[in-house]
Amino acid sequence: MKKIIFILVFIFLSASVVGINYVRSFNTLTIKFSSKNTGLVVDIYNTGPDTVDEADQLNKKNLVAENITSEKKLRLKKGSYSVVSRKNDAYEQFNKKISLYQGSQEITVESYFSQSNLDKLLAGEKSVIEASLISKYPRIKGQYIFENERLFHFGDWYGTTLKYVSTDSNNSDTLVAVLKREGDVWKVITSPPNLFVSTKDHPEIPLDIANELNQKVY
Amino acid sequence: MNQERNKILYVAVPALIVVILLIGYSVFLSTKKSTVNLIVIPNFTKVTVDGKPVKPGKLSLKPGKHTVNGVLEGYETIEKTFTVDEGAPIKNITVFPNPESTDALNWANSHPELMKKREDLAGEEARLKGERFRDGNKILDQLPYRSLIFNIDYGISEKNNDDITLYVAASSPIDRQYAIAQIKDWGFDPSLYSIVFSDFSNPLGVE
Repeated sequence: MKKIIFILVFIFLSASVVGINYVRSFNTLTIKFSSKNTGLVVDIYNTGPDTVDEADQLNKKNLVAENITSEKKLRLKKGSYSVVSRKNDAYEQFNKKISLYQGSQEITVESYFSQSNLDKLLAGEKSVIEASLISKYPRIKGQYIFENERLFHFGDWYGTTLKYVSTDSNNSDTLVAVLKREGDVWKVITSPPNLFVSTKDHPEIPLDIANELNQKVY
Repeated sequence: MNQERNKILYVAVPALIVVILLIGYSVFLSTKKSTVNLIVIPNFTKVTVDGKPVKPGKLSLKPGKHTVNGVLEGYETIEKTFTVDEGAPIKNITVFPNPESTDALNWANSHPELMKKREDLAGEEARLKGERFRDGNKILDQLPYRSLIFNIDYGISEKNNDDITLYVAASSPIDRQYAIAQIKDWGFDPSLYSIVFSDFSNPLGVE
């Protein structure tokens, strides 16, 4: 009898350790969707250190969950995963790596508008934005011309370079201007437009926008 | 029958304890802590970390931001935040309230050795802060920079004492371009700096 009890206890202990380790080998990944996107579909791949390319998507290589269109919680083995959106003409592709080694994670799927979508939007907004900038800095008219105009992110950021075309050769630098849409109004963030965009001076301007515009000047 | 039940209990209870210990150990392993050395002068100052009373000496804290408070009658109240990084070497957290009342000043005057220790530690803290400032602003290793066509210098930012502003003296648009190119050549991103171009007069005016 004693022997049986020992065996049972041993089995119980071993099963407990195995069970605890098994439970601890999983973490929860919560997928959320930004309200700024509609119609995005994401899949999850167990990629390890690699990233997901188009061929992987086509072959469904390492796919662990697919066709996710709304908030979802998934219990996944500890590891590295990629959350990837399917092709959608309106948005850039969302492709983000996430590690579930340290604990549960939450990820919000948010993709900026695609360049073609932003170009279409700019065509409709351009004259309004330029008028907003000129109304605040009337000297732009006659002294500068707009170049490299583009919208960023969700069409809520606008950036342009202003090429000097007047006579002050010592101060004929090209300037950079950034505006942000607030409701129906375009607000000038770089007041006044300056030699380059500094995220230190304007922490509200995302670094990718600052870099993109500064590269046009320097 | 009773003897049989006792036998089961003798085995089951230790087994249960072992299981609980294993679970506890697993939980303990998942919460890694780091050590800080809390130095308090005077050492009878009432000190709390994140609201919990603590004694001077080594403290085990979870990685992240923490707040230390020091209260002592007749002395200024201390409140400061500090960050503990996982796996970082032990760092000193000092609580040195300044004496304000006559009694407190008398106590300070009668303990010159402690006041000396306090000054030494505060000096060391200031030195480390200076080192951190230079570490956080690596571009300072290159500055000031003088060339034939432009100069780049720096000053402490008016908005943030831990930050710097770069000052570029360059008289023409092309020279200013060279100055920015120089910053890039050093491996720094100009977008991340506040830069004042002292010779540039913006045709659009200033805000």
